[in-house]
Amino acid sequence: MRRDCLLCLVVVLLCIVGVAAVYSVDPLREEGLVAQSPFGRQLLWNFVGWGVFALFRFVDFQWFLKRSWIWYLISVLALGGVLLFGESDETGAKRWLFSRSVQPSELSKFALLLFLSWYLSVNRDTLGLWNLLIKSAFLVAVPAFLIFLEPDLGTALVFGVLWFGALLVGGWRAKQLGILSGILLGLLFPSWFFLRDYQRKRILAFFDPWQDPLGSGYNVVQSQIAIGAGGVFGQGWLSGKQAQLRFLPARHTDFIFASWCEQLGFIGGVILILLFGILFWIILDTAIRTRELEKKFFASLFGLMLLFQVSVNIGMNLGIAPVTGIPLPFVSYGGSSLFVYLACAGVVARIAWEAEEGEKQRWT
Amino acid sequence: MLSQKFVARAVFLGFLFLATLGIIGFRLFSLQVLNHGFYRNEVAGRFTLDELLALRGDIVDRNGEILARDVETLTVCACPRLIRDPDLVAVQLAPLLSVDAEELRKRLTLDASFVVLQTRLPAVLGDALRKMRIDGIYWVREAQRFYPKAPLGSSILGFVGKDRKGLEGLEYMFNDFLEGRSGYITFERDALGQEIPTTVVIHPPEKGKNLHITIDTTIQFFTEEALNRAIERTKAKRGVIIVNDPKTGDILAIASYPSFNNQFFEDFPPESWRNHAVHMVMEPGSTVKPLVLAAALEEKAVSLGDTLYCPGGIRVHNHWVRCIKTHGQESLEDVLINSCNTGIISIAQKLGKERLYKYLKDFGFGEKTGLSLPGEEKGLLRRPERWSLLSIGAVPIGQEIMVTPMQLLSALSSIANKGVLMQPRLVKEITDGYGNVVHEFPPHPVRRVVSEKTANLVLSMMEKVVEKGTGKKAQVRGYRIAGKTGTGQKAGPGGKYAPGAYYSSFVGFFPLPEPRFGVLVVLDEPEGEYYGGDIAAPVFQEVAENILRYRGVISEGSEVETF
Repeated sequence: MRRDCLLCLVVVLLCIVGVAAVYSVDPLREEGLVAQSPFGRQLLWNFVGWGVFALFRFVDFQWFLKRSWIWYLISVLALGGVLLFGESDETGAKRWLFSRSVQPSELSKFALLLFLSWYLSVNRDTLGLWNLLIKSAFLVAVPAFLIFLEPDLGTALVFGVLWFGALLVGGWRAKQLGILSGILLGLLFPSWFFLRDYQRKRILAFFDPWQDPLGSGYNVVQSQIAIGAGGVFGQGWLSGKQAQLRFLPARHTDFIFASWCEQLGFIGGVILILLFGILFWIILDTAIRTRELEKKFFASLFGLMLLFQVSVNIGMNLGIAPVTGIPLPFVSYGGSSLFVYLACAGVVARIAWEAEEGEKQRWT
Repeated sequence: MLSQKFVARAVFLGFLFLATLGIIGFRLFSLQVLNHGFYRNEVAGRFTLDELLALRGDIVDRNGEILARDVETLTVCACPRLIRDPDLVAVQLAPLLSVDAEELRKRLTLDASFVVLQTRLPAVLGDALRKMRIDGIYWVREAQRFYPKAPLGSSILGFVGKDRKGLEGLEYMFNDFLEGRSGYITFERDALGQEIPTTVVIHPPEKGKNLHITIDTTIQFFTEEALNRAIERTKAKRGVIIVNDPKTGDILAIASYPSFNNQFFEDFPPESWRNHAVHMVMEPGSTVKPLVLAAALEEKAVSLGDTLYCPGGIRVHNHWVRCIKTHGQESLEDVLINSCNTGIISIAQKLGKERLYKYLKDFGFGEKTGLSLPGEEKGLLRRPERWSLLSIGAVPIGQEIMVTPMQLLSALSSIANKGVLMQPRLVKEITDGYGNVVHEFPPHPVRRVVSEKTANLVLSMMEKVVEKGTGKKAQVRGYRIAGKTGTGQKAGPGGKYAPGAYYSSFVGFFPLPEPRFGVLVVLDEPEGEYYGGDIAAPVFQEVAENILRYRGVISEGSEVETF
């Protein structure tokens, strides 16, 4: 099977899992298909999102890449705008623009992916030098810091990971990376004092959630109970007390994996993880095959971002990673995240297709 | 240079990924498989569910009469160890629970932590008990299925079991609609087992949907009475009467014997729970003759002016099929009037087995009618390839085929309904607690079997059967009735016809020319006389007379007097 078709198939399956999982915890499920219900919206976003996928699949990637500094600037401006005119959600964090319809921090992920790929490939002669490292660090730090101020620690972390990943695949020497890791670890302890109160509590709750099962450890405990109660075959589709009786918080966003596993059990969970596994393998394979540097950068950074988000999200559902507001790609309820991931997947599908076409021409 | 390095680092990424997957997978395995029991108990024990009772929906007849309804009852129980003064409590409670005070005192002094004092008490007692405030006395609200008109219609309605799920009849078939959704209160408990007030969540119960059925309670009553009298008179083993509306396929009444009382279904043997209208299979006998004749007329195998000669029997292959007597020269109409075997077999021979089979199949034989009652049989109609050389002499007189009473009535109703076969309908609609229609079942025409002209012709011949033929005993003065008798032999063990064992049947439609009622009477193994015209026709006459009087149908002869 052609690589881009396989990728498309896996992403479709993930989206179907997402829509089904959102449906299963939809509070308005009884009323049928309503546009206001999470299920109805997720379906709508999927339609729009696949349009975005098609756009990036069929339009030349270079066109977007060459203008990536524009996207970067727009995203930095939008993030600044969030801090000035943004709207808060239930937790009190300012993350939204335009009456809670757009989350710029999600969209800026895509902008940064494009920008980093472009910036590093343009400066390919100085790759591996301290000079470029510091410049790129500054360019990533600006939006990351703005996001950290919202506050959204999870997405800020994703930016950090993107940057570090760029250094890794960009060919910096192991010694340099070692020194950098040392500095970052050293910064970890003082950073404790810059964290907000709830962020600190969450991290403490991660180490011992049962300390305060009704307070800061609530999410972690409920989600572990939901997953554990699922067993091998699950509690059955549309049943499962944890999610259906609304014990599980953020059932359709951050903790959707837990409600999925409560209903469909170990088997369902493994299927979902395997889907992500196959997707990551395809992306990595594409990154190796393609010949152009900027495409290598884009694909491998996207793969890394996917891997990071999936493992942190599932990890926090399973209680082995701290609770940060990172959604599960393609599956969690939410338009901004879905659009970004479908756009990236569209780009990678195009890269895979171009690589295969290129190989064909070389061999024939 | 970069490319080689890139591959190496991509492989590193891959390993990183594999490790992450491994950790996640292992953790998932440990949570869901290794420690499943712990978390399951955590869900079960960490918060409590109090179930709130949901009432089952009503079953209502076509005139709005309630046939089945849930009522709330109380079960009163006690914890004897907590009762300080058993003598006083016994005296106080005895009148309320309608039990003997001494008996009650004995139970209250038992050395047990839980005794049930009385069940099925009216719900209003709860207030009285609450006012008395006796320590150690508890009561639980329960729902009880109540059939106000029981045993009327038991074989249609069915019943619900201890777990409040429908087990028979409509209660079983429509359980998913009738069953309410129980509500619940959930609350978490702290380490001391106290409920935490902020965690209380109430999900209110939802009453089940109501079933509106086509049965007319009054007609049902006549019909059951008539069947019981007929069974008493004839000592038949089983019996069925079905009343329908041939135009819509609506079932107005079904009486089935042996019968039972659904309020106390446990006291009756399970065989009696069956509704024989769909469960009994029988050889229809002569009642299929109008269908054969209609097929022959429709296919123009015979025409109206044809005459036949009955020499008292007919040769089929190497076998002589006897007729009741020598009928001599007959018109088509006489074949039905005399229920002449010779005549109908020679008509069938002209029609041929392929076309005969096709028409009988179109009339609905050999497949389920789709009436919404459990345990429906589909009968037997063999494909023409599997007919023997004798079959053409057996099928037209209602042998070698097996039908249920429901199939028979619905097939013949198509003759009374201008040739269109209707699906029998028992449920009209399903409504929710607010009266909104949730589900509607409009009359469903299955197919046109014969033309309107043919159907009306055969119907008028069937009128003659009642007027001067074998069905004379079905006449109701002043009304035009079309009908047909049937006497089917019962196959005994080993496939041979058992001597003296018959199905007597009569099917009739009235008032002509636009019949609004169809009645089928079937009696299984009546003692003594067994001809359908002698045994089943009088039962039909009784039911028909009652229906006409009840519905106030004006008779043909009566003139509206003017002053």
